[in-house]
Formats: sequence, structure tokens, C-alpha cells
Amino acid sequence: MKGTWFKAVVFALVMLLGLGVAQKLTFWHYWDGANGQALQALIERYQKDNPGVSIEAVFVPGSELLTKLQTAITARQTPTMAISDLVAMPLLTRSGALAPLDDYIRQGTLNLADYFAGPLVYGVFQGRRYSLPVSASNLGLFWNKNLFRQAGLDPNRPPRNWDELLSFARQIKERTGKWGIELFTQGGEGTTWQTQVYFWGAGAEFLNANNTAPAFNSAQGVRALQFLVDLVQKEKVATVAPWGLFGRGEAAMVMDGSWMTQFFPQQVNFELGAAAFPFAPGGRAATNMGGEQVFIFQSSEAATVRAAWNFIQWFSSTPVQVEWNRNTGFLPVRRSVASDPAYRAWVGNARPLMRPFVDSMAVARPRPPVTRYPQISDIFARYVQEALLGRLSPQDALNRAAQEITPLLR
Amino acid sequence: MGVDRLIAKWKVGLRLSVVHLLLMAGAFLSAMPFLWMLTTSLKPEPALYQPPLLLPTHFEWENYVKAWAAAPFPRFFLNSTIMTAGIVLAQTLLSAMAGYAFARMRFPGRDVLFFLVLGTMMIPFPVTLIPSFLVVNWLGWIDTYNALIIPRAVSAFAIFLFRQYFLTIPRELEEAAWIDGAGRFTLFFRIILPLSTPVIAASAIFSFLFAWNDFLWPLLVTNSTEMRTVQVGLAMFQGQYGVFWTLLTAAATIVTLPAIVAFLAAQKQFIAGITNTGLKD
Repeated sequence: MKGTWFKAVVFALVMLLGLGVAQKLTFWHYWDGANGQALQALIERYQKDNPGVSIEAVFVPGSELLTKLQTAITARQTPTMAISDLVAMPLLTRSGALAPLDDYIRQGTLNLADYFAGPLVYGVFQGRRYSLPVSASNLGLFWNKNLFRQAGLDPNRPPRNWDELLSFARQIKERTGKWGIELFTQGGEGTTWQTQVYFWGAGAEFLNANNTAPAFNSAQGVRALQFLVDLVQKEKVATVAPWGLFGRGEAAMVMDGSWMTQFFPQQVNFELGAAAFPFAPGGRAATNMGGEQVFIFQSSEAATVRAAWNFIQWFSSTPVQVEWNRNTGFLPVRRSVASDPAYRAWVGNARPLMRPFVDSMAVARPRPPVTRYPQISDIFARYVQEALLGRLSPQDALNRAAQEITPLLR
Repeated sequence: MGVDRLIAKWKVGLRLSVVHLLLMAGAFLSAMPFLWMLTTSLKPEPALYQPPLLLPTHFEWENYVKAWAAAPFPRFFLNSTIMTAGIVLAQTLLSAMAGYAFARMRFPGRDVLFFLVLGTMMIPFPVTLIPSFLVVNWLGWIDTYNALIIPRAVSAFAIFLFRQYFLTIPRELEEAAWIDGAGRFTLFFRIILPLSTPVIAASAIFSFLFAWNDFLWPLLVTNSTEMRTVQVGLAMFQGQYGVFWTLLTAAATIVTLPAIVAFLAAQKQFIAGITNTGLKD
């Protein structure tokens, strides 16, 4: 009896001590549904293996995470670490609230050379790195095999370049009366990031090499926009309409994101194909890329930052990333994950539509990491719309967009 | 004579049916989004884009079960209820008192003050967002019901609503009570408030809808899941990579129910309140 009491007291003391030294970390993220559950499962395992650390994952709806981070930074009420959509990283790195990671990376086990080049472009400010990519997505081609069949096309052969894209689209329009391809014409970043894929595919650049001036109004840029305008105005195989034609079977091809390999099969009632997006003859393979970056906030407690880094390093390791990408459907940010046999086998068996997206990570390009990217994107999209509607020639539209965007890059 | 009466009757009938047709069209337009929500919430995912869009033909009750289980909704409902009850009570009582002061009491600077209160309605919420957050943070209220209720305990709109209504109550009623020895508080609680049920109902409905539907402020001032509200719960279905329409509409149907019930319960007073003050929102 006495022994039991003694044990209980010792146990209680150990628990109290444990609470005293335990590192409590908070982690703000916007991963909803199954993705949030995958994160929670990883955190629970990490806590079990590292008894001194407890991590509280806080879900914040994606649309408001940046607002919440900004208010938290103003009030100095930041969590230990957080993720963000990569587009917001230039803003966050300039806030002065993030902890630089260079020393940790140098002393740690992560090999940055293993990361794909695209996602690594974000999170760097004045030569220092503040964030690491933890997930990616990119754009590719989806096509409706039923419509291909109806049009007399080989349902298993997607277009490989713009010439084929156009001839397939014509044949579909002619034989089925449906649109050949759907374009995102509703403006904003949706229009811009899809249009960038055509621009890069024609060999054009969006901004110059050091992101100080627009470069999209080059000869290649005009050629890319002319191609899109011709699809609508001259060939009439695409239209300016609200998004969703492809999902309803009204258009035979569409450019959409890797995440749709998960959603389309549940939403559409036709047979789907997916491929890397075709590029211009003489151009180059390219796609656009999204994803999240993880970062740590500065803290007076060096041990807290260190504990957060240890978690991030574990989370970023190849085996954990393989599991993370399998459970979420996010694309790998590391080459060792993309080529991991277990990962490739899973893609082949469970998510065959995703394979072209995984392979496209090597040619996925970042949108320029500039603070005013959202305004720049809106202006660019507006002039793309003007051109698609036939109100401005591609050259005029791009020149005017460049004129409006130049001051935003100073 | 008989024919004339028949024609007159016809004319009235015709006018009434035209009026009714217009009203029916209006009613349909208002009900349409709700029908769409209900229909979508009962569809299996693959039928999402297929007609009928406004009449439920599938009955996938599973969506409701899944939506309810996707987040700790019982806790969210509790938090929303506490927050909404607090805001409605505080806004109604405090705004009625302020409205009474502006309508009946005489003090220096009264009208300037009233216009200042009205002026606050012109300041957009995003402008006051960060300062309010800083104050709440300085008070140590982050993640508490205080942060959810107290910054929204008064409403300039409700003050305006009450003042306009109180101006329509005959002064003689108060003077009679005054002579009988009633004080300010007795006057306010025993004479004025009982005469003001329509405007109380109108103001309560406005603050109920505001509080129940509020999203950004509760999200900013709460960090733990235990303090989140139903609207934040709904946002969980609007993922970064696509909207889960069937689950979102199922959850939205559940979340909208209290608002519909509250409106139906107070409908008569609500309409009287609006027509008496000559206002609509």
C-alpha cells in the first residue's frame, strides 16, 4: 500500500517536471479534411517518438490564414511555426518576424540540392532563407476520352504540342459540337497562372531575370497570347464563359491542377485522361506550380525555435514526405520522393492520373516571388481578357499591361 | 347592372392575380438559393452538376452525417449560441438605452454625439480590424468569450433604429408617468420598452443574423478549436483545393436552420418594426 502511494507521488512529480520542460509548439495551417488528418497523424507519431515535445496544430481556413498571420505579427502573438501559400511568402519574409533557417540547414541533415528548383525560389530574402517547401501542386492537361472517341480521335492519345492541340480541338468542335478546350477567362490569378503556362511553353518569360521589369511583351509572349486569342476568335474552339465547361462535358480538354486527379473522378461522368500540358512547336515543356512553405517565427526562446526546426527537419525527410504525399495527394517537393519506388508504385496503382503531374515537377516554374504579385496578376489577367474578347490586339494588350505593371516592380 | 358587377369583379380578380404572380416570382427568387442548397446537400457527389438543381430527387442523408462528423460541430454550435446570445442581449439593451437618451434626454452635445455615432457606420470593418485586435490582445482576451462578445456589444445601427422608434412614442405617456412619480429607469423599463416590442424584435433579428453569420472576427480572436464558431466550421468545407459542395451545403443547411427559425418566430414583429421606422436593410 505504502509502495503504491510512493509510486503515485513519484509519478506525479515526474509528470509535473515533464510538463515543466516540455516544449509546447503551435503550428498554424490551412490543410482541411483528409490533409489535416494526415498532418495530425504525423504530429501524434512525432510526439510519441519525442516525449518532450507537444505540437498543437491549429486549422485556419485558407482564405484567412494570411490575414490572421498578419494580425498576429502586428500584435506579436505569433504561433511557433506556420505554413503559407507560396505566393504570400515575399510578404511574410519581409515582415521581419520569421527566423532565418540557414544555420539550421547547414548544421542539419536536409540536402537542399534534392529539392526541385521551382519551390526553392520562395522564402529567400536578402540572401537568407526563411522557409522550406513542404508540398506542391502543378497544372496539366485533362481530357474527356468519351468526347475524343465521339470525334473519331484516339482516346488514349493526348495532344503533344500546340499544333495537335488545335487540330484536335477543331475536330472535336466539328464532329461533336462541343468546345475543343476550356480556358479560364474569369480574370484574376486563375487566368494569369494558366496563361503563364502558355507563355513559358512558347519560350517567353513573365518578368526579367531579376524580377525588376515585365518581360511578357516579347515576340514569344505575343505568339502565346495570339494562340489563345485565335482559339477563341478565329478558330472558335474555345469560348469566354464561366469556369466548369469541362466538368459538365461541354469542353473536351482543360488545363487544371494536380489536385483535380482526386476530385474530377468523383465529379464527372466520363472517362478521364491526364497528361503534361502541350507546348508550342520549338518551345519548351513548362508548367505552373503552387504549394505551401513552412516557416518558424522568431522567438526569445532559442529552444522553441530549435524544437520547431527539429520537427520541420523530420517532416521534410524523404520517408515522411513519401507518406505525407501519399496521404494528401500533394506533389513531391524533393526528387528523392518523386523517384522513391514505394511512392511511384502508389501513384501507378492508386492515382494513375497523377503520374504526368509528378513528372512535370522537374519543369514546374515558380511565379515571380515579388511582394506585389497579386496586383500584377490582376492587371495581367485583365489585359488577357481584353485580348481574348478581341478588344485589343495581343501586342497592344501586353504592352499596356507592361506599362501598368512596371511601376509596381520598382 | 349584373354585367357591370361581373366586369368589376373580374377587374379586381385580374389585378389580384397579377399582384400574386409578381409576388410569387419574388418569393421564388428569394427561395431559389435555399432550394439549391437543400437539393445539392442531398445529392451524391457525381450528380453535383446534373439537373434537377432545385428539386431534391436523390436523398443522400449520408452527406449530413459526414458533414456533422467532419468538425466538432456540437462545440461550434455551443460557442455560436453563447456568442450570439451575448451579442443580441447586449446590443439590444445597450442600444435601446442609448437610443432613448438620444431621443428623449437633453444634454449638451447630444446631436453632435448622435451624428458621431452614425458616422461610425461609415467606417469599413477592415479599417478597425487590426486596432480592435490589438486592444483585445492587450486586454488578454484572445481565445475567450469576452473577445467574441464585448467588442460587439453596441451597434450604431441599432441605436439609430431605437432612437427613431422612440421619437414616435407620444411624450404625454411619459409625462403622465412622470407626474405619478416614476423615475428615468422606471419610465424606460416599464413604459417605453413594453411599447417597443416591434423595434426590439427588429433590432434583435439584425444582431442575431450579424452575430450568427460573423466569420472573420471570431476567426481572428480565437486560436483553439474549442473556441471556434459554426461559420469557421463551414469554412472547413471550402478547401484550398476545391469546395466539397455536397458536404458544404449539408452543413450550411444545418447552420442556417437556427436563423430561419429565429426569423419565423419573430416575423410579425420584425415586419412591424421595419415598417414603423421606415427602414430596410
